[in-house]
This record gives sequence, structure tokens and C-alpha cells, in this order.
Amino acid sequence: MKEIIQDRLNVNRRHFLGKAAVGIGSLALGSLLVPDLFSGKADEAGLPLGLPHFAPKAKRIIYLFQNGAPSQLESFDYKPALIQMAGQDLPESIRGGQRLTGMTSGQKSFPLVGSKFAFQQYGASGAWISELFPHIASIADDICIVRSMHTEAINHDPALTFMQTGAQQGNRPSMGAWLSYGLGSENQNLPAFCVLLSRGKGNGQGVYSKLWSNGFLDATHQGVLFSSGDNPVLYLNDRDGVDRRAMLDKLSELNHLGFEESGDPDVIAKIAQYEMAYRMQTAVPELTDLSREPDHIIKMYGPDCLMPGTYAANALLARKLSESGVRFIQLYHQGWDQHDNLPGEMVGQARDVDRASAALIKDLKQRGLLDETLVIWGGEFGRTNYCQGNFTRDNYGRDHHPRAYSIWMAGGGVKPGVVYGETDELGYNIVKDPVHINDFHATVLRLCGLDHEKLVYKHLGRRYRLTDVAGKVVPGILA
Amino acid sequence: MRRIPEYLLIFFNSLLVVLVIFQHRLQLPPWLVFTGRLHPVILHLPIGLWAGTIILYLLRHRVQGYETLLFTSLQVVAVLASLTSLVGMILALGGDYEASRVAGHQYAGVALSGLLWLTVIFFEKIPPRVLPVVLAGITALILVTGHRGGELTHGEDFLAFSTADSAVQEDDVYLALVAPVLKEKCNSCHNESKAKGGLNLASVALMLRGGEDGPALIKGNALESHLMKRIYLPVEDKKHMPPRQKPQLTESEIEILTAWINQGAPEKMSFAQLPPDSPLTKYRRQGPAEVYAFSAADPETLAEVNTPFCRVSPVAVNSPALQASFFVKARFDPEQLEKLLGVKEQLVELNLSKMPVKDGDLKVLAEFKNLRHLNLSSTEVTGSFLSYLKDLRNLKSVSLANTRLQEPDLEILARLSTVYLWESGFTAEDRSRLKKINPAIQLDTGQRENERIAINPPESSEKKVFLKQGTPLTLRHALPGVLIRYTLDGTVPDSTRGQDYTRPLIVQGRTRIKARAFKEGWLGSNVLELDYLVNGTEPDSAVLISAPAPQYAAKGAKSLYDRLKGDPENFLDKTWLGYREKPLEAVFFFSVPEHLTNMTVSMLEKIDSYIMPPQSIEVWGRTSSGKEQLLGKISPVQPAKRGAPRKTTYFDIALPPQKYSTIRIRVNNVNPLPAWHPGKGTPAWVFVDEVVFN
Repeated sequence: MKEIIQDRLNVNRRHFLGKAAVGIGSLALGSLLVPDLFSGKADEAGLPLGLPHFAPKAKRIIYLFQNGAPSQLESFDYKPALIQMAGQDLPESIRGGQRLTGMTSGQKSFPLVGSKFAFQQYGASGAWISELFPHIASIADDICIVRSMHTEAINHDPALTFMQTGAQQGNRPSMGAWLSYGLGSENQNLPAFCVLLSRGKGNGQGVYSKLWSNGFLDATHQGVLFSSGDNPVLYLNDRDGVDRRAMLDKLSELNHLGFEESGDPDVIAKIAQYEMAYRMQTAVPELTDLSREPDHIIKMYGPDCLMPGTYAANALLARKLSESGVRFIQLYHQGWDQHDNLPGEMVGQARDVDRASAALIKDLKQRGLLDETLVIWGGEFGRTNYCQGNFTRDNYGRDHHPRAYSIWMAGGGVKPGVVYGETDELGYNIVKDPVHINDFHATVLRLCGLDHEKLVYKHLGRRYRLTDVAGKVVPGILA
Repeated sequence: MRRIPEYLLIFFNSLLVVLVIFQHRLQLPPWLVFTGRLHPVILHLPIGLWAGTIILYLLRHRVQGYETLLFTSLQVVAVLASLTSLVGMILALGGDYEASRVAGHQYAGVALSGLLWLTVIFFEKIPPRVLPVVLAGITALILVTGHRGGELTHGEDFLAFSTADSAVQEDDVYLALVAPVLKEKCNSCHNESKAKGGLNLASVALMLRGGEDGPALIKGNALESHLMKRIYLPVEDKKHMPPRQKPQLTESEIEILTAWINQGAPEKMSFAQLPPDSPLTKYRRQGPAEVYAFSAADPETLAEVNTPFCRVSPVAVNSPALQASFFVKARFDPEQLEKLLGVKEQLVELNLSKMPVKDGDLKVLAEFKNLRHLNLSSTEVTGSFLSYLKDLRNLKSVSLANTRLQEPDLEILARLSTVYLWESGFTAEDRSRLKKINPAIQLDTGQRENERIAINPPESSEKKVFLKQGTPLTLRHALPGVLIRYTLDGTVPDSTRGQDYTRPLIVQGRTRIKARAFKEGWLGSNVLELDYLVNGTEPDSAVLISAPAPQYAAKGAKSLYDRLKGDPENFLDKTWLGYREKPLEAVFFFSVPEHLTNMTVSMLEKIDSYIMPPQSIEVWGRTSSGKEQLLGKISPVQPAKRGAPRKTTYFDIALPPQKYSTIRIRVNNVNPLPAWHPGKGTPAWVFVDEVVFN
């Protein structure tokens, strides 16, 4: 047997060349069918990084995250049936085995409760918006309300992490990091991904740095948290008698030596970040300068925008950062977790964000920037249509609800003046056009000119995407 | 055995001849109709085998016993071909196909069957030189027959190259959405050549004409349209379409058909003509990307024009078009604009927003012939630069928001499709003139918030509560042109009370400031309340006569004069002394008697946590010689409802001015809590962090 195999391996030159010719011929034919097969310019992802895969609609994103999960039933998903049926038990057939949080799983009954706040229709689309958000209602023709978002997580941390990173566990890169990785930085004097925090008076939930983490991506894609004080970026100014340039040059030499020894790519990332901080010295003062903002802009955002650390101030700063080419600006406004005392707390929370959110859209629009900036407003899940805790006529609370929630988007290639998706009469289940978080991510990437299936990073032996192994672009919300 | 093929051939071919001759008079039993359906399956057998036969012939010199083999395979092909023709004939007679269109395929099949039969009969008599001709003839006939048959099943343009204009197709609702659904799920049985039930769904007109059951469509009414009724029927229903064994329509496809019929089943309608709420709009595919006539810039040139303050990059992978953005005002260099001439051909987008660019710097714009979008918002241009844009035929939008335009050239602006003119000094008159020249132009002049809302309060330079005597205090406001008015007597400042803030205030002893901001066009601000304690006379020691609650014991009596302010958010921070079961009672000692005029007790109020203002505060004092006597007592106003935010409160008590060696205070907690409070009937808490003497 061995001899036979050896005999077959004895190929003479003529045979080899003859067979090789056929093989090369078939490869040549293959290359006609697969462009760039031999050009060698495509990397393993198939596409070079730092540029959109196709001409983008949105160059930048401002994500106004309403942390804690604002109730869709008191904002954008109008359910009059809940008012009529208030106090009646949620039928088991509608709940359909939905798992509950530990906070209501012991509850004996699930009394339905309708919005205490009146709704009215606005804009050409006739979108129903509650009286808590009069300013957002005034831009109804500019926004696309998606009432059919759904998720798998039922608690804040996994839900928030899912919404921001595409996975519940919290070891993945955040949306902003993916965008920085995929599109690169527009303005090299500022981070591509900035994070701004604010806090309302309502019951709050924490935010953690893992939400703006670079995960397994290079550390330069990490979100930079701006301080909520007078100086959004601390330690930018040189101390007296310190020549930062000279210091950085020496430091960089040392770091390069360190890199040669360890080969750790984080060292290179560190050098890049020091250099960025150096350039930020000239770029940041422009951002905090309010002198070119006329009074009526201040009025538009609300006078709170003059107080650093408020949502309104962050919204205004977000506009300025976005104008200056920051790819992804992530705001978090805490305090939306209304398990009890919902009517009271929601009034305050809505007052915090309503005026400034609408102002941001109007402001971007009048500067001609809304077309290229995608603004997203929303939380990590919805709230139940039944009451948590004691149900009284004017006070109630709502628990976490993953099956349906509402967000809105504007600008950047999103179809304006549209209400997408629908929930059932009781606002519990989606009956039309569901949008999963993976679909949402796929759509956002599409708007930014990225194919979510091609924006990949190889890590621990597999290729990762923001949308993991799922996600479909939602064509119905694309302009 | 060897003769079986011969007999089969005779049998099949005779039957075939009978069917061909008498096809108009036949009555087919149902089981036979069924065998007809086998045609599409078995037709592939003779074709495949024929290919094998040809290969066999080509390799005839290398195959032993080739002649026998060739003859056998010819026989088998002939048998299978005649059988295929036969069932094909039965299928055609079943009535699903239009006779005139099937005829070609039919007769070619019969001819093929006959030719093969003849070849088998006369095989031995065929001279070797003629054999290839015969084989070629059969091959040709097979190709013709197969092709004709394929057209029946797959449609006539199946093998044609796609030549339709894709841009038009993308934008037409019927061509982009409806036709593909019908083609994929319906047309294989309802086309021109095979119109089952007499229904052909190849065009809107044909659908309106309908089939045996009447029109397939009723414009504007999907529910009543026959097409949809059949689709809506349950799959098990015999009349459901497509038939159970065929691929079914997806939910989206049903939605597309429904919405399209409800829209009036238009054959020519672009997406732009659809009403915005039409479900069809969400199925629109993105149009093809803009195609540019120029080629990409040289990578080296591209690298040269890039700086940290001017980024030039392709708009997308593989796109020759470039966009340029300038950043950081302080580093703006007009010469960098000149450098962009290196990529003037490719530049389609230029963003100079917020740069200190002047009209004169923009001469270079005239060279950017392919420029589409120009952003000059918040720059120093006045409008004379517009003449440089005269020959830019591709320019679509210009943003001039937040600029000071002076009589801009409207003729040039009018050539654009969008201009952003918010806060640009553009007058309503200019606007209407521009609209007159180009009625289609989109002008965004933004909006001005004229609502009168309250301005926010001023801010103080001092965030600490304890200040040194003589500390200067600055009040400020982030908005320019704000008037700040303040009082020092606890009253709320307005236009009559209080005074204008002009220079820093100097802290002298206990200071209470109330300040408000005012500005033209705004309502007055809320009141800024500032309480400052001056670290006056410190006692030498103190003792707590009553013990605090163990969890709120802080550092004992020392906590009352350590000049550490407690955090109102956290009463466990070791600065607060908390009492509930009994009043707070403490004595402060001055080893050298001190001259005192007043004192302040700093306390916490958090009603929802049962922490109320004190019922009363009593103060006793002892001079160096005399007996202890009551110096003062205050009883603060009690709140009447829940929900107030937590806050620090200060209670000032005036003392008869003289020298004291000891001061004893007693802070009485509310007991019991009032009826409106959830803890009614139980005692309230008092929390004290500091006692200050002056």
C-alpha cells in the first residue's frame, strides 16, 4: 500500500506543470468572479478601517440615553384602553409567561394602570405624545418614534449593557467604540467618543465605565468621560513652569523603549492618548466658550444649560462637540426608574430633558447639521402596563418591561415625522414591526455608512460584531 | 430480455402518435393527468444520459467494447425520451398551458423521440463517418426541445441578460416591490404560457382582466381582491394560494401586496409619490450611491494635505470623492485652503464651520468644480465670497448660519437647492426675493425662542459654609449683561428691595445673602440663598449632657465645634449628631470668658426621613460671676407637608452682649410627629453638626 502511494507521489515535471496549468486556469477564472481576490488590499475584515463602507447619511451620533427606563406609556405609546381598564388584572394570556423581576414576582395581582398624563396628536404623522413632553411634541415632524423596541434583559445593568454594547455581559466594546474603530476620528484634536453624565431627581440607577469601554478593541477607542464641573476636561492646563511638549517627548521615548521590550499595544495607545491630550489643550477652550451663543439659544436649551453638569448643559456641549467632529457623544441622564411615585417623579425627569432634547434637534437643524448627525433618545427597556406596589387613583409605579418600549431618532438619514411599530391595545406586546436591539444597532451602523456584518474584530479566535450573530437593518425608518 | 427496449420503444412511440393525432378528442382519467406531472422530473434523465453517450463516443478509442455500450445507452436514451415525450404530452393536454405556446416544445419532443427511435433501428447500418452527424443532429434537437420547455417553466427572459435600467426599477413601487413578489411566488403558474385558472399575473392590466374567477384585483380594496382572498385563506384550504407544496408568501410580501392594492394598484408610481404613512415606504431599498466622473486622488497628495487641523478623507471606501473639515479655530491657517488645490478635482464637501475665515480667503473655492456641500456657519464671511461660487455647477447646499451677511448676491444663492440662513443677517425681504428667483429653493432660517422664561440664578464664588472674617465674595452669572440684585436681611430681592451687585461683598460675621439675576427678555431668576458662618469664638471644651443615638454619635461633643460641615446627603458621615429619644443637650466652656453677641445652630431637615426642624432651641448662659440664666428660646415654624428636599438649616439666636464662661443649649425634637406625617405619633429626629458663637 505504501508503495502505491509513493508511486502516485512520483510526479514528473511534465505532469506537474500540466496539472498546475489547469489549477492556475481555474484560479484565474475564480478571480474574475471575486474582485480583489489577488489585489491584497483588503484586510481580513474585507474592508479597510477608518472609512465608511458606503457613503454615510450620518457622520456623527448624539445618543441621549435616558437611564433607568422612562415609561413609554407616559411618553410616546398612547394606550387609552389602560385608562378604561384601570384596576383590572392583566390577563395571563397577554403576559404569556413573561418572566418578572424580583420586585413584582411576588405580587398577587397585576392591576392595569393608564397614564395620568393627557396625550395629544402632533405633526403631520399625528404622533401621540404626552403632555409631559411639550417641546419634543413641537418637533414631531422631525423625529421618528419607534414604539416597537424590545430586548431580552429585565434588569437595568444587563439591559443597559445590551443596549450599549450589543451583549448583556459587559465585556464587549460599546457602540461609540465600534464607531470610532470603524470610522476613525474626524477631529484628531478631540476624542472620537465622549461621554457626558447628568442626574435627575427621580429614582436613579448607576452607570459604569464598562458602558463606554473599548472592550477588546484598541484602547484609543475608549469613551472619554467629561467632568460635570466647570472644566469638562481636567488637568488640561499646564502647571506653571512645565513645558508639556518637552515632557511628552521624553515620556514618549521612554514609552517606546517600554514597547520594544514588552510589545504591548496598550503602550502605543497610551502615547497616542498623551498626544491627543496635548492637542486638546487648544481644542477644548473653544467648546466651553458660550460667548458666541446668543441669548435665545440659551433660552432654547433652557437656562439650566449654563449650569455645568445638567442635562441641558450636556445637550449644548454635545452640540458643540458634534460640531467639532466628535463621532459619538453619549449622554446619560439618570433618574428614570419609577417603580413607585411615577407621576410625581416623571414630571421632574421630563422637565429636565424635554426642552433641551428638542432644542438640540432645532439647533442642529438650523445650522444645517441635522442631516449629518443622528440623534437617538431613549432608555434600556420599557415599563409594565400594570402597577407595581400599591395602586391608588393618583399614584402608581411601574416595573421593568422588556417586551416593548419606545425610543425616538432624528436626523442623519432617519425618516422624519414617522411613527414606526405598534403594540397591542394594552401596550404589553408588539403587534407590528418589532425592532430588536440587534436590528437597532444594524440600522444605526447602516446610517453611518457601515455594514454591520462587515464591521468585525477578530478576538479569541472568532470574529465579533456589534450585532453579534443577528440583526437586520430596519428599512422602514431609513429616509 | 434483449428485446425489451425494442418493445418499449414501439409501445411508447405508437401511443405518442395516437395522442398527437387525437389530442383534441381525448378524455384523460385523473390518474393519468397525475402522471403528466412527472414530466419535469424524468425529462432530466434522457438529457443527462445523452451527455454521457456523447462523452462515450468521444472516448471511443480508449473504451473496450465501445460499440455495444454506445448502442445500449442509445437504446436507454431513446426509451426515456419517448416516455418523457409521452408524459409531457399528457401534461400539455391537462390544460394548464396555452396550446399555441406549448406546440413548439411538443412537436420538437415528438420529433426527438422519433429520431432516436430511428437511430436505434438503423444503428448497425449507419456508416462510421455519418455517425457523428447523426449524434450532432440529436444533440441539436435536444437543445431546442429543452430550451423551449425551459421557457415555459421559467419565463422567456430567463436566459436573457438583465438589461433593465436598475435606477428606474429601484424607484418604481411596482417594479421594485410588487413584481418581484409575484414573479417569485405566483408567476411560475400564472404567466403568459402557463395561465392556470386562466389567470396571468404578468402585468397589472392582466390582473385586472383576471381569470376564470373574475378580476384578480379590485383597485384600492385588497380585502375584496380575489388575489388576496386566495392568499389569506388558511394553507389547508384547497383554494389557498400558492398551493400548499409551493413556497408561501412571507408576512412582508403579503403586506406589500395588500398595501399596493389599497394604494390603487398603480403600475407606475415612484416612492416619492407614496403618502408618507404608506407601509410600502419601509420596503424601499437605498438608491445607488452617487457616481462620480473623476478618479481618486493620489494617496501621497492626500496624505500631504492632511494635518491635525484639516482632515481630508474619502467619503467612503472605494469612492474617489473627498471631504475636508477644518478644526480648532486657534490653528486655522488660510494657506491650508490653498493646499487643498492638490485635490481640487475630488473635493465634494468642505466644512469651514467656526473658523475665522474671511471672504478673501475663499478665492480658492472657484477651483473646486465638483464641490457639493459647503459649510461656512459661524465664520467671518460677509457674502462677497459668493462671486467665487459662480461657476460651481455641482454645488447644492451652503450653510451660512450664524454669520453677518451684507447684501449677499441672491442670483448666486438662488442656484443652490438648500441654504441655511439662521442668524445670518438675512432679511425677510431678501428671503422673499430669493424665493421669487428660485421657488424650489429650501431656506432654513431657523427659529428664535421668544418665550419669556426665568433666567437661572447667579452663582457665588464660595462653595464652603465656613469662611474667614473678611473673605471677599463674588457673585457671577454665566450670561453676559445680567444684573444681579441681593439683600442681606433675609428678604427676597426684587426691583424695589435689595441693591445691585457691583463689587465683591466682604464677609463680616454671620452672613445671609439672597440674590437674584435679571436680564432683558427674561423673567427674574429664582432666589440664590447663601448662608455663611464665620468661624468666630471657639469654646475650649464641650460635653454632651444627653447621649446621641449610637449610630449618629459622630465624634461626640467635639463634632459640634470642629468646623466640619455635614453632608446633607449622608447623615452617617461622622459630622452629624442625631437625637430622637431625647433632646440634644450640651454645654460649651470658655476658660477665659468670651464676649458673645449671637450664636448659630446648623441643622439638617429631611422630612421624609423623620428629620424635622427642632420644636424649640433653648440657650442658657453663665457669666464669670453670676448664676446660669435663660438667654433665649426660639421655636421654628414647622412644615405642614411631605416632599420637601433635604436641606441644611441655620438657626440664629441673639445673645445679650456680655462675657460668658459657659453656654448650655437644649435642642428639643418634635414629639410626637403630626398627623399628616407617616410616622405620626412617634418622635421626630433632630440632627446638628455645628454650633457657632460670635
